[in-house]
Amino acid sequence: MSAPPPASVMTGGEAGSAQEPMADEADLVQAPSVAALDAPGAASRSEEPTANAPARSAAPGHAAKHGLTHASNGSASPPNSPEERTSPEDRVSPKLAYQASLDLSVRELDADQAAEQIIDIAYKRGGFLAGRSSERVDVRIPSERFRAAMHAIDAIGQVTNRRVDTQDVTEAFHDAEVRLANLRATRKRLEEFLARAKNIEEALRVERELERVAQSIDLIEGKLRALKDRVTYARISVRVHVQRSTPQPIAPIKPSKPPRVSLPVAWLSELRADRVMDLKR
Amino acid sequence: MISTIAKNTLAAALIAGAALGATACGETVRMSTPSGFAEMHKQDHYAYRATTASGVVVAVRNEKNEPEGDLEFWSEAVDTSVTSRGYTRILEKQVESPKHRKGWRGVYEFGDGAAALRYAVTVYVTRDRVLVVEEAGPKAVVVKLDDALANAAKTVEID
Repeated sequence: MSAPPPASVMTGGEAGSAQEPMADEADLVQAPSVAALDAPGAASRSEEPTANAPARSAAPGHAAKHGLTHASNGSASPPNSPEERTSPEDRVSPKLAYQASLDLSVRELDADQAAEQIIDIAYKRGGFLAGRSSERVDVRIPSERFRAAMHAIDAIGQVTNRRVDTQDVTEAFHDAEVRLANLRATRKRLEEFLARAKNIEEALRVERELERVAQSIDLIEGKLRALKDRVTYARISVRVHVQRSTPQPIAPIKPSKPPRVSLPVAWLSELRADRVMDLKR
Repeated sequence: MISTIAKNTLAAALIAGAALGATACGETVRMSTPSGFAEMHKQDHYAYRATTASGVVVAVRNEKNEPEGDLEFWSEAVDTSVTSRGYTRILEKQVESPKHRKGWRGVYEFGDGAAALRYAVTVYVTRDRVLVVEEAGPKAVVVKLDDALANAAKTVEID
């Protein structure tokens, strides 16, 4: 209350309309929480993706009015009703995050060589190295090339343990986008309220709410980026085990004839009947 | 009759016909020329060589005992060398000269039928020299002279 509001806010307030009612603090608290993304079951594929999403929205109409992007298909159509938001297009394109863990036993290679081959497989498929230790290598692969990459890694050695997890993040993704849209709508209304604030106290109250909403927007945007990343790039973690081959005893070479020592004695090679009998020599 | 007597006394006759062989490094190799053999002179590689009219040849090499080996070493070296060229050894035995010099004798055959050859090698070893007596000829002829040739080989000495 002691500090004056920012100049831009004050300017906006002066220019704004006073026709819309000022949202009270309770409405602002109902703004969607980022923590909801982590709620159990939020990512289950069995759930209908967005049926209850509008109920959480403080002002869904505002999101539609401001042309918010639809979560699943990226189209410009605003989610005006639950029916629209659960269109067949949404259902047929689930957002799946793949994660695989492999134990790979190699015999001909050492751990570094095997890791290099795994990294090569990732790069050749548009992926990248995500982490590496002495016996472990993590790579990220474009999801559409996940299976091909798994096959290629299989060929390096023998897979002794394999775990593939597929997480459907469609719901979480959609919810986050809806919440983001709502928060942005709330922010816009707050900005409008701020523009119409009649005194400094009211302006400061709105400003505090604006700051809180802005933080929530940042968090949800971060979550959305993380979800998009998980969907776009599958993660493959490979633990490399070098299988030491037991040295085989070297079989003695069996010569077809016993080895002969060639003595450096020239006359030995002249011992033969025909030479003795050749009287001209 | 004369022929029969000659055969029976061939060994004695061989020894009786003493001959001076070629020398190497100043030593003299001596061997009794068997009856019916003619000594060949001016031999480059042999200290002594004699032949029959039918092509049976006896010859003596006087070689350095280098590398310095004993009778076992040189007899094995000779046997290995000869058999490596396709000769089949049909007999080997220890021999002793009239002067009690120990030696080794190996008898070999090579080829089949009318072209078959008989080849025998007798080895004596002194501290410095290796004396090698070679006998060779058509198998069909040599077999009749086996004993005479064996006895002749025993007469080799080096002074």
